[in-house]
Amino acid sequence: MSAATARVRIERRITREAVRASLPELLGFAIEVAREAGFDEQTAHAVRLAVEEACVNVIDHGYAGAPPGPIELTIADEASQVRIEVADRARPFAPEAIRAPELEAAVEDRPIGGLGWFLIGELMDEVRHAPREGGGNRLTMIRRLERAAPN
Amino acid sequence: MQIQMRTVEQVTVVEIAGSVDSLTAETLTGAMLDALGSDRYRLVADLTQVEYISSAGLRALLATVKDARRRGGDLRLAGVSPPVLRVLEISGFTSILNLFPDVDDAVVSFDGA
Repeated sequence: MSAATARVRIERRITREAVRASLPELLGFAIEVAREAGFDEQTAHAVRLAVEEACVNVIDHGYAGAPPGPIELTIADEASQVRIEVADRARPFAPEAIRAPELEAAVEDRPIGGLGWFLIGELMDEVRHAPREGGGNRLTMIRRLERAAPN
Repeated sequence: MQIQMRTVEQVTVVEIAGSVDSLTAETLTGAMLDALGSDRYRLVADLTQVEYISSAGLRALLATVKDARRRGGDLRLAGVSPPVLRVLEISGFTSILNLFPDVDDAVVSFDGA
Protein backbone atom coordinates (compact mmCIF):
# COMPACT_ATOMS: atom_id res chain seq x y z
CA MET A 1 0.00 0.00 0.00
CA SER A 2 1.38 3.41 -0.91
CA ALA A 3 1.75 6.14 1.67
CA ALA A 4 -0.74 8.29 -0.24
CA THR A 5 -3.65 5.99 0.50
CA ALA A 6 -4.10 6.88 4.14
CA ARG A 7 -6.47 4.26 5.39
CA VAL A 8 -8.68 4.04 8.39
CA ARG A 9 -7.35 1.09 10.29
CA ILE A 10 -10.15 0.92 12.80
CA GLU A 11 -13.37 2.86 13.26
CA ARG A 12 -15.73 1.99 16.07
CA ARG A 13 -18.94 3.66 17.15
CA ILE A 14 -21.24 3.37 20.12
CA THR A 15 -24.50 5.23 20.75
CA ARG A 16 -26.04 5.47 24.19
CA GLU A 17 -28.52 7.61 26.05
CA ALA A 18 -26.73 10.64 27.51
CA VAL A 19 -27.16 9.73 31.17
CA ARG A 20 -24.64 9.02 33.92
CA ALA A 21 -25.62 5.34 33.88
CA SER A 22 -24.18 5.08 30.35
CA LEU A 23 -20.72 6.23 31.45
CA PRO A 24 -19.30 2.80 32.35
CA GLU A 25 -20.06 1.53 28.84
CA LEU A 26 -18.78 4.67 27.10
CA LEU A 27 -15.54 4.70 29.10
CA GLY A 28 -15.10 0.95 28.74
CA PHE A 29 -15.54 1.34 25.00
CA ALA A 30 -12.70 3.89 24.87
CA ILE A 31 -10.38 1.51 26.72
CA GLU A 32 -11.33 -1.42 24.47
CA VAL A 33 -10.82 0.47 21.21
CA ALA A 34 -7.47 1.81 22.40
CA ARG A 35 -6.40 -1.75 23.18
CA GLU A 36 -7.68 -3.06 19.84
CA ALA A 37 -5.84 -0.29 17.97
CA GLY A 38 -2.66 -0.97 19.93
CA PHE A 39 -2.10 2.65 20.92
CA ASP A 40 0.94 3.37 23.05
CA GLU A 41 0.27 4.01 26.72
CA GLN A 42 0.28 7.82 26.49
CA THR A 43 -2.08 7.86 23.52
CA ALA A 44 -4.44 5.36 25.14
CA HIS A 45 -4.48 7.50 28.27
CA ALA A 46 -5.16 10.72 26.32
CA VAL A 47 -7.96 9.09 24.31
CA ARG A 48 -9.62 7.75 27.44
CA LEU A 49 -9.40 11.11 29.13
CA ALA A 50 -10.75 13.07 26.15
CA VAL A 51 -13.66 10.64 25.81
CA GLU A 52 -14.51 10.89 29.49
CA GLU A 53 -14.34 14.67 29.68
CA ALA A 54 -16.33 15.20 26.47
CA CYS A 55 -19.03 12.65 27.36
CA VAL A 56 -19.42 13.96 30.91
CA ASN A 57 -19.76 17.44 29.47
CA VAL A 58 -22.62 16.37 27.19
CA ILE A 59 -24.34 14.37 29.95
CA ASP A 60 -24.01 16.98 32.71
CA HIS A 61 -24.34 20.20 30.72
CA GLY A 62 -25.47 19.52 27.15
CA TYR A 63 -28.83 18.05 28.03
CA ALA A 64 -29.17 19.76 31.43
CA GLY A 65 -32.77 20.76 32.04
CA ALA A 66 -33.95 18.78 29.02
CA PRO A 67 -34.76 15.10 28.48
CA PRO A 68 -31.51 13.26 27.71
CA GLY A 69 -30.99 12.37 24.06
CA PRO A 70 -28.35 10.32 22.34
CA ILE A 71 -24.60 10.55 22.64
CA GLU A 72 -22.72 9.08 19.71
CA LEU A 73 -19.08 8.29 20.30
CA THR A 74 -16.74 7.39 17.45
CA ILE A 75 -13.09 6.47 17.80
CA ALA A 76 -11.09 6.01 14.62
CA ASP A 77 -7.49 4.97 14.24
CA GLU A 78 -6.47 6.68 11.02
CA ALA A 79 -2.86 5.46 10.99
CA SER A 80 -1.29 8.87 11.46
CA GLN A 81 -3.85 10.16 13.95
CA VAL A 82 -6.65 9.17 16.27
CA ARG A 83 -9.99 10.85 15.64
CA ILE A 84 -12.54 10.99 18.41
CA GLU A 85 -16.01 12.32 17.68
CA VAL A 86 -18.69 13.02 20.21
CA ALA A 87 -22.03 13.96 18.66
CA ASP A 88 -25.24 14.84 20.45
CA ARG A 89 -28.65 16.41 19.91
CA ALA A 90 -28.27 18.76 22.84
CA ARG A 91 -28.46 22.53 22.95
CA PRO A 92 -25.76 24.45 21.07
CA PHE A 93 -22.42 24.33 22.84
CA ALA A 94 -20.10 27.33 22.70
CA PRO A 95 -16.52 26.28 23.50
CA GLU A 96 -15.29 29.87 23.22
CA ALA A 97 -17.52 30.83 26.16
CA ILE A 98 -15.73 28.46 28.54
CA ARG A 99 -13.43 30.28 30.89
CA ALA A 100 -9.85 29.07 31.17
CA PRO A 101 -9.00 27.67 34.60
CA GLU A 102 -6.83 29.75 36.92
CA LEU A 103 -3.84 27.47 37.03
CA GLU A 104 -1.73 29.80 39.13
CA ALA A 105 -4.35 30.52 41.79
CA ALA A 106 -3.75 29.62 45.42
CA VAL A 107 -5.51 26.50 46.63
CA GLU A 108 -8.21 28.39 48.55
CA ASP A 109 -9.02 30.48 45.46
CA ARG A 110 -9.15 27.66 42.96
CA PRO A 111 -12.68 26.82 41.96
CA ILE A 112 -13.55 23.13 42.14
CA GLY A 113 -14.19 22.08 38.57
CA GLY A 114 -13.75 23.61 35.13
CA LEU A 115 -10.74 21.49 34.20
CA GLY A 116 -12.28 18.96 31.84
CA TRP A 117 -12.40 21.12 28.75
CA PHE A 118 -8.92 22.44 29.50
CA LEU A 119 -7.48 18.90 29.70
CA ILE A 120 -8.98 18.05 26.31
CA GLY A 121 -7.24 21.07 24.80
CA GLU A 122 -3.91 20.11 26.35
CA LEU A 123 -3.99 16.43 25.41
CA MET A 124 -5.37 16.73 21.89
CA ASP A 125 -3.58 18.28 18.91
CA GLU A 126 -6.74 19.62 17.37
CA VAL A 127 -10.25 20.24 18.68
CA ARG A 128 -13.10 21.27 16.41
CA HIS A 129 -16.68 21.97 17.26
CA ALA A 130 -19.54 22.28 14.78
CA PRO A 131 -23.31 22.46 15.05
CA ARG A 132 -25.11 19.46 13.54
CA GLU A 133 -27.72 19.62 10.90
CA GLY A 134 -31.06 19.16 12.62
CA GLY A 135 -29.70 20.36 15.95
CA GLY A 136 -26.95 19.28 18.28
CA ASN A 137 -23.19 19.39 18.31
CA ARG A 138 -20.30 17.48 16.84
CA LEU A 139 -17.02 17.69 18.70
CA THR A 140 -14.01 16.33 16.83
CA MET A 141 -10.77 15.73 18.70
CA ILE A 142 -7.58 14.73 16.94
CA ARG A 143 -4.41 13.37 18.44
CA ARG A 144 -1.55 12.77 16.05
CA LEU A 145 0.35 9.51 16.33
CA GLU A 146 4.06 9.09 16.17
CA ARG A 147 3.95 5.45 15.26
CA ALA A 148 6.37 3.99 12.75
CA ALA A 149 5.08 4.07 9.18
CA PRO A 150 3.66 0.73 8.08
CA ASN A 151 5.71 -1.18 5.52
CA MET B 1 -11.38 1.66 42.42
CA GLN B 2 -10.62 0.35 45.89
CA ILE B 3 -9.86 2.39 48.97
CA GLN B 4 -8.15 1.24 52.13
CA MET B 5 -7.38 3.44 55.09
CA ARG B 6 -4.86 2.99 57.83
CA THR B 7 -3.38 5.23 60.44
CA VAL B 8 0.35 5.81 60.82
CA GLU B 9 1.11 7.91 63.88
CA GLN B 10 -1.15 10.97 63.48
CA VAL B 11 -1.59 10.52 59.76
CA THR B 12 -4.39 8.78 57.86
CA VAL B 13 -3.05 6.98 54.82
CA VAL B 14 -5.63 6.52 52.06
CA GLU B 15 -4.46 3.76 49.77
CA ILE B 16 -6.22 3.98 46.42
CA ALA B 17 -6.11 1.35 43.67
CA GLY B 18 -7.64 1.68 40.22
CA SER B 19 -8.96 4.65 38.26
CA VAL B 20 -10.04 7.92 39.82
CA ASP B 21 -12.58 9.10 37.27
CA SER B 22 -16.20 10.20 36.86
CA LEU B 23 -17.36 6.77 38.02
CA THR B 24 -15.35 6.68 41.24
CA ALA B 25 -14.38 10.21 42.27
CA GLU B 26 -17.50 10.80 44.35
CA THR B 27 -16.81 7.71 46.47
CA LEU B 28 -13.24 8.85 47.00
CA THR B 29 -14.30 12.37 47.97
CA GLY B 30 -16.78 10.96 50.48
CA ALA B 31 -14.20 8.62 51.99
CA MET B 32 -11.54 11.30 52.32
CA LEU B 33 -13.88 13.94 53.73
CA ASP B 34 -15.18 11.33 56.22
CA ALA B 35 -11.60 10.69 57.28
CA LEU B 36 -11.30 14.41 57.97
CA GLY B 37 -14.55 14.45 59.91
CA SER B 38 -12.97 13.47 63.20
CA ASP B 39 -10.00 15.09 64.87
CA ARG B 40 -7.72 13.87 62.11
CA TYR B 41 -6.74 16.30 59.43
CA ARG B 42 -3.46 14.93 58.15
CA LEU B 43 -4.00 12.79 55.07
CA VAL B 44 -1.67 11.01 52.71
CA ALA B 45 -3.16 9.68 49.48
CA ASP B 46 -1.12 6.71 48.32
CA LEU B 47 -1.48 6.80 44.53
CA THR B 48 1.06 4.06 43.76
CA GLN B 49 -1.69 1.88 42.26
CA VAL B 50 -3.52 4.63 40.38
CA GLU B 51 -2.77 4.81 36.65
CA TYR B 52 -5.57 7.10 35.57
CA ILE B 53 -7.10 10.30 36.87
CA SER B 54 -9.53 12.65 35.13
CA SER B 55 -10.86 16.09 36.06
CA ALA B 56 -13.38 14.37 38.35
CA GLY B 57 -10.45 12.93 40.31
CA LEU B 58 -8.75 16.30 40.42
CA ARG B 59 -11.93 17.74 41.91
CA ALA B 60 -11.83 15.08 44.64
CA LEU B 61 -8.23 15.98 45.52
CA LEU B 62 -8.94 19.72 45.47
CA ALA B 63 -12.05 19.43 47.67
CA THR B 64 -10.10 17.34 50.16
CA VAL B 65 -7.01 19.52 50.32
CA LYS B 66 -9.17 22.63 50.80
CA ASP B 67 -11.00 21.02 53.69
CA ALA B 68 -7.84 19.63 55.27
CA ARG B 69 -6.01 22.95 55.15
CA ARG B 70 -9.01 24.79 56.54
CA ARG B 71 -8.65 22.54 59.58
CA GLY B 72 -4.94 23.23 59.84
CA GLY B 73 -3.93 19.97 58.21
CA ASP B 74 -3.05 18.88 54.70
CA LEU B 75 -3.52 16.28 51.99
CA ARG B 76 -0.20 15.05 50.63
CA LEU B 77 0.32 12.70 47.72
CA ALA B 78 2.65 9.72 47.58
CA GLY B 79 3.81 7.42 44.80
CA VAL B 80 2.31 9.36 41.91
CA SER B 81 2.65 7.37 38.66
CA PRO B 82 3.86 9.09 35.45
CA PRO B 83 0.44 9.28 33.71
CA VAL B 84 -1.18 10.74 36.83
CA LEU B 85 1.72 13.13 37.33
CA ARG B 86 1.24 14.40 33.80
CA VAL B 87 -2.41 15.29 34.47
CA LEU B 88 -1.47 16.95 37.77
CA GLU B 89 1.22 19.00 36.05
CA ILE B 90 -0.98 20.12 33.17
CA SER B 91 -3.64 21.26 35.63
CA GLY B 92 -1.23 23.18 37.86
CA PHE B 93 -1.85 20.82 40.77
CA THR B 94 1.83 20.15 41.37
CA SER B 95 2.17 23.72 42.61
CA ILE B 96 -0.69 23.46 45.11
CA LEU B 97 -0.21 19.89 46.37
CA ASN B 98 2.85 18.41 48.03
CA LEU B 99 4.10 15.25 46.35
CA PHE B 100 6.42 12.64 47.88
CA PRO B 101 8.12 9.59 46.38
CA ASP B 102 6.49 7.17 48.81
CA VAL B 103 4.15 6.95 51.78
CA ASP B 104 6.91 6.96 54.40
CA ASP B 105 8.32 10.25 53.10
CA ALA B 106 4.85 11.79 53.03
CA VAL B 107 4.05 10.65 56.57
CA VAL B 108 7.39 11.87 57.94
CA SER B 109 6.89 15.25 56.24
CA PHE B 110 4.14 16.02 58.78
CA ASP B 111 6.62 15.79 61.67
CA GLY B 112 7.78 19.34 61.29
CA ALA B 113 4.25 20.67 60.80
